[in-house]
Amino acid sequence: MTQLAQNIVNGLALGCVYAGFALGLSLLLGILGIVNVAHSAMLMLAALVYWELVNALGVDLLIAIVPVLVLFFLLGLGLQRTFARRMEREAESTVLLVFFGVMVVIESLAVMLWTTDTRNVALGYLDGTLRLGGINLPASRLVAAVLTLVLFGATYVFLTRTLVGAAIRGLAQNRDVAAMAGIPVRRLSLLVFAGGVALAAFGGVVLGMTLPFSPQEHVRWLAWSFLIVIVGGLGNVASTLLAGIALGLVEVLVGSFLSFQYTYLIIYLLLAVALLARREGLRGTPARTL
Amino acid sequence: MSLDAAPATDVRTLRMEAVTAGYLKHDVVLDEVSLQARPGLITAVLGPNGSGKSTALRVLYGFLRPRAGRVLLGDQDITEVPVDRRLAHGIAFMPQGRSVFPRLTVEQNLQLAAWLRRRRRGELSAAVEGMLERYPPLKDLRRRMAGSLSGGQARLLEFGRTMILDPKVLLIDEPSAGLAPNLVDQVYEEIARLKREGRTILLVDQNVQAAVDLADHVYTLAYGRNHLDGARAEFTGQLDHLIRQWLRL
Repeated sequence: MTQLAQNIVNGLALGCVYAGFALGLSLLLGILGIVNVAHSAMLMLAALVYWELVNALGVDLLIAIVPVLVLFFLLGLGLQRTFARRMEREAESTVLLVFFGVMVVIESLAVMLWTTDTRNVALGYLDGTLRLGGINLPASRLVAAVLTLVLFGATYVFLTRTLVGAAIRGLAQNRDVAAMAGIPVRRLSLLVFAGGVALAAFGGVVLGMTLPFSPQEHVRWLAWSFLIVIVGGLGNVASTLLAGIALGLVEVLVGSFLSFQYTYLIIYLLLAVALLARREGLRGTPARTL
Repeated sequence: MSLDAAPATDVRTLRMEAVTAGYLKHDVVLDEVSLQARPGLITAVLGPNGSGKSTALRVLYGFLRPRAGRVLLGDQDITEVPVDRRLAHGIAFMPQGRSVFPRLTVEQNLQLAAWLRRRRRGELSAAVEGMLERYPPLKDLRRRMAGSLSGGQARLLEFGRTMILDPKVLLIDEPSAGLAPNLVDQVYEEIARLKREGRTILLVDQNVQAAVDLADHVYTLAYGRNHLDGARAEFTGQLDHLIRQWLRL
């Protein structure tokens, strides 16, 4: 019984972390229609930058999050200015190829700068385990989960309770009408893109806090993120969180009675089923109300 | 009202001068088309399918850049003004088909339509309430998702969206398309009211009879070129002839 409760707690915490991985991908796809296949590469790069700040420069674990997000927001602005903006009128396959290129460039750069070694962020004061009624939870994982929940809450409130949030949702629903209302669609797209990259970086931070990572092992997180986005619906903050938590629970619970390699097999199978259920692939994924 | 009611340089006069435009590199949908819409008048642009009516509206509202020619508001050249800056110039566009945000509420749709007032929240709320007063059926629908509205309700919301910042110049494309017959009359009554309010109205319509009944000035296009151009009186007798001519085109 305690073991089951332990598994559920592990699954919930891991699921929150996974949801944190997927939020940026979900918003870029749901609002701008961009399939950012470089998402996990950005996530991994952010994890490496975070690692550099914490391990090499000794910056505090929580404070280091801020410069990482700012840096990637600026990187997002740069990326959008240089070419993502030009992709607006291009075919989806072209956009996909371009972002694949971005992924390759980021991965190569990361390998050149940081080699292919597996890294662990020095957890410092978060390196403990909380015990409550026989259930253990690493403090770092709890903090990562709580940070993700806070970020989801903030994103949700921003998108549903503010006029700028409504404008962003309007942009996703009908770009021409948004422009006719005088909403600066290009500037807003720029900010949403940069925000999506910053959210990918947030995924990198929680990755760094919770799991070992290496420059060449990020594609798994891309598959995980896509699974969450497909199940959760495009740009839908609340159900992205639920889908992430579901994935975490599935992984931990399946892992508790099957061996490691079967877990991934089952999750990839779920991805295939999810894609089949949405018969038109990502296009068929309902962009639900936020 | 006479056609000489306002000088051509009135700031509310919208003109298109010798515009040539198309969607692909070499196609010519509009071939040196000139149009003029003056304040307090309804100017109808008529023509058979494919004559370039809707394209003319797209050029006038900045969705399509002309290859040659220019668009003027009063004496100001607005050819290059992007779509999202046009409302600030007092020009609004009600396009053909649905033009609401389907997964936002009626109220949110109106709030976004008043986006240019976002820094003055009091004015923004007043503008939204003003539209709910002007189009009373919307009041009870304010919390409904716009995508769940009936065709007539959605059209009302589109009028509200278009009118909320009190634009001086209105471009209207096929206002009655897809509506139940009893609603069609209401739509044209509303357009007549907009005219009485002194606005400049450019109307593109397939419903030739209704448009000519309403219009003060009529242009016809054929094969993307100017065809006929004159006051309404010159057209009322010729309707049947016109339509027959278009069917032959």
